[in-house]
Parts: sequence; structure tokens; C-alpha cells
Amino acid sequence: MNIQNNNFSLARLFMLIKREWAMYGKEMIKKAGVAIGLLAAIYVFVFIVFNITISGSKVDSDIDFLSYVTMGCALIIVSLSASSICGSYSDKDERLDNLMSVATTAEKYLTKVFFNIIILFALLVVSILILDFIRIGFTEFITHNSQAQLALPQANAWSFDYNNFDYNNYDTTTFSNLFSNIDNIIFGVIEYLFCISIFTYAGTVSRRYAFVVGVAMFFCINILLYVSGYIVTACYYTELMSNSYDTNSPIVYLTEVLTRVIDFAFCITLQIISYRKFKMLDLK
Amino acid sequence: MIEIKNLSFAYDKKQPVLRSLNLNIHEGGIYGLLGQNGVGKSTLLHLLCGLLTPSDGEILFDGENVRLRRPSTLSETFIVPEEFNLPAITMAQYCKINAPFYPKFSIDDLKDNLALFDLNVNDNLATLSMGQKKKAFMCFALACNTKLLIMDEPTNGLDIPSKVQFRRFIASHMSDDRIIIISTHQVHDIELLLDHVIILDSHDVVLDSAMSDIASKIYFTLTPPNDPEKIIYQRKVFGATAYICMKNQDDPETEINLETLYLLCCEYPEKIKDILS
Repeated sequence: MNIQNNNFSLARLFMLIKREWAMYGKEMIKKAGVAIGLLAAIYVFVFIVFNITISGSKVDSDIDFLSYVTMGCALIIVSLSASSICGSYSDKDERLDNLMSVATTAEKYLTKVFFNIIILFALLVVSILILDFIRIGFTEFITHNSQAQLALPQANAWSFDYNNFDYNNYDTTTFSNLFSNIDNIIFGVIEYLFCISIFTYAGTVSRRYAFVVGVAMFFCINILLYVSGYIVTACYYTELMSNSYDTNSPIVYLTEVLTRVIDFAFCITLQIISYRKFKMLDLK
Repeated sequence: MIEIKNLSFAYDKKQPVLRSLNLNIHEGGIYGLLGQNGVGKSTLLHLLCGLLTPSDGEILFDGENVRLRRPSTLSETFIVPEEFNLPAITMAQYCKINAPFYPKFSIDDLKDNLALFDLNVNDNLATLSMGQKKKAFMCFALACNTKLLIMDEPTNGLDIPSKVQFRRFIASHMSDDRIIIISTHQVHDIELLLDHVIILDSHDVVLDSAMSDIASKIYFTLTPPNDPEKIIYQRKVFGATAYICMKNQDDPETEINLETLYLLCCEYPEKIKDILS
């Protein structure tokens, strides 16, 4: 491989990713691991200890707050990603190191994308899977039902009634809350990309206050996109006004799909704009 | 070769740092970059690496614009900044992840360089002192064998024996196709090392000359010459007086006192330009 080749090179991209991992990645994963580990420990303690002491052989649905823990894990990962992205723009030493890396601008940008979007998102998914595994395992144990894994439906944990559920009469298999259906997966991925894209752009706009700008942009743009999503489908808007909309109606479904498409298009546009600004980045 | 053409740069539009700078830097020389605090030495070094975007003009390294930061240019450029961070890994691991980006990197050179500074390739970089980190990073920089090596205040933080070793270390790595540019305030640390000196003042280059040219035209002495008209500049130094005098054929060549030369360039820039042109 010719390292001095000025064209985009996959081999060089992988070398850059390996370098980024060794220099910054392990540190990032350690921080994420500690934060998520703490959250998971609190969840496990509350879920198991409270259920044993209060519910006996049942699982109290009020104590299962996996959905909140999922949101907490997502918040930790997004904060870490944002901090990593903003840090790489604001920290002078890191910026110098990145600028002097022997690679094209596209390769450097994709390395950042790989770490902040792929690696950290994978960590988020693994964390949620582990927590859900604990929830299912404990439920099986406490209800003396080895089929509990199959018995828990694709329901939102907030509304699932563990105590009155008929474990002998089921027809669904379970996944973790986040992955109960493909819509949730797409929603999760797009929301994550949305957050990361905003912080990537914020880093190119203001180096010193990148994180603050990112948070402000996140709230403003989120509100704007949801409002615009609703306005796009006039029929749904009319239905919403009448307070009688059916969540299964095609219009409602179309609006949700349109909102996701707009979100995704926004993410891609922001990434393209961020890349163009990234090309102009220097040490100033 | 590095060609600097009409280079201008400003952090703030009201206060330019460099104005229409023109300079050529050739291979096979160790260049010293001197100047007052805030005159733009580090800025010029960053511009040479393509780390800053000039307001006007361009810098070409072997015909390529450095601001484009192409891999072909970056793989032949290495900068040792005044301050830097090293990750918490061993030098061996650091080499494993960074050396592949520099095609001329030599592990044997690195081991020899580290041995000169009593360092080991298995030392954890995070546990080293500031001076040791600097030595380790410089060892790696020289082992990359890049065509252009830039060092910003390299002797800051080094102990006295290390400063001596630094001079030996740099001199031994010089070659005909290499350019080493050292920016420093510690002129005594490097004056015996330099082939060429560049002095910046008032947004421009005041002196850009080979040491051999300077030595052929002026000489430095602590005793006044017989002919007082030969004196170009004089200053008090620890109870004595240091003189810079015009050199005739009969006068011996002396070592260049960079500190005195620097003061002459700052106080009488036109005089030194006339003498050396």
C-alpha cells in the first residue's frame, strides 16, 4: 500500500481507525463502561432487591424501569460522543494531531463518524441487551418459569402487567424494549444520528462552546422538525385537532414515516455540511 | 524545497502577524528561526505544516500547496510542537500505530535515539516526565526520517546534558535531502548546529542568510578592532563589550554569536540587510 497516495484509501482508513482506537477509543469505552455500569448496577439492585423484598414470587411492573434506564444509557452515550466530537475540535493538541494525520480529509472525517456513530452506538445496543437479559433472567427465576423469556410480549415495559400476565398462554417472543419491532430500531438509529450530526456541526461552528451550541441546536431543531412533520400531513393535523386519531391509521403512519425521512435527510445534510466545514478546519 | 510566496497571515484583521513574506528553504540545512515573543515564529511553523490558512499567498513544499494537507505532503512532514500530549501507551505501541504512516520510519533509528536519552521502547509514555516525553517524541520524530522536520522550542524542559545530546542527535540525523527548522529563544542551545538563520521582526523577515555567508562578511569579537570604522555594532556583555565588525580577507572567521547578531537585526535591520546583500 502506498501511504503517500492522495486518493481515498480503505487500507489507510482502517489504519487510522486502529490508531484512533489505541489513542482515544479505549479511554472512551472505559468512561462509557463506568457510567453505564453504574446505571446498570442501580437498575439491577432496585429491580431485583425490591422485587424479592416486596413482591415475593412476582415481578412488580411498577419497579421495572428498564425504559428509563435505556434512555439514561442513550443519554450517556450521546454525551460521550458529543464530548468526543466537541473535544476534538476545541482541544488544540488533539486538533493538531488530527490535522497532521497522514490521511485525506475524507478518511479523517469517516474515522470520527466510525467512532462516534458505529462504535458508541454498538456499545449502547450491547448495554441495553445485557440489561434486558438480566430482566428476563430474573423474571424467569422469580416466576419459576423457564419460558418467561418467550412469555414477555412485545409490549412497552411501562404498561406490561407482570403480576397478572398468564405465563402459560402466550404466542409472542420477546426482545429488549428497544428492539421490539423494526420501527423502534429505525427510530433509535435515526435519533442517535440526529444527535451526533448536530454535535458534529456545532463543533465546526463554535470550537469553544461546541457542546453548549450543540445542546441548544438539538432542542431548537427537534421542535422545528416535529412541528414541520405534523404540518406536512394536513389530514393528520386535522385528525389531531379532533382528538380522535387512530394510531393505526395510514395517515398517522405516513406522518411518522415522513417525520423519520425528514429527520434522516436532515442528518445526512448536516453531515455533508459538517464535512465541508471540516475540510476548512485549521489550527486557528 | 519550500517556497513561501507573498505570505500574509492575521489572527485578527486589525493585527497582521505576517505581511507579504517571501522565503525559500532548501534541502540539506538546519534552519534556525528566531524572533521576539509574539512575532509569529510558531505561526510561521504552523503555516509551513498547512495547519493554518494564509490570508494571502501560498507555501509550496516540493511544488505542492501545503494547505491542501495531502497525504503525500503530510507523510514527509513532522512537527514537534512546544506542547503536546502523548497517550497512555508504551513507545512500542505508539510506534506500531503511528509508524506505518511514515514510509521511511526506521525502528533501529528509534532504538538508537532512545538509547542516547536513556529511554526504553517499553516505557509507558504517560509515566514519563515532561522532559522525558519531549525526548521520546523527538526520538520518534527523527526516526520517521521525514523530509521536513519542524521543532518548536525543542530544548525547553531539557536538562543540560540532554541539551548537549540534542545537538549531537540532530547533527547525526541531518542529510542532504532533509530540512530541519528549529524555532527557539534558547539561541545558545543551537547556534553551533545551524546552517542557516532566519530572523523575524515587524511582520517580515529581517535576516535570511546562511551561517557561512554571515561568517564570511562579519566577525564577532570581545576586543575592539584596530580600525574603529569596522565596528557595525557593539553591546555590553557581563562587564565586557561584544563587537560585530566588518570582515576583511585578513580577518579570521569567528563563531557567530547569535544573540548579538539577533540584537543587531532587531535594532538596525536595514544595516544588516545592506551588509549581507
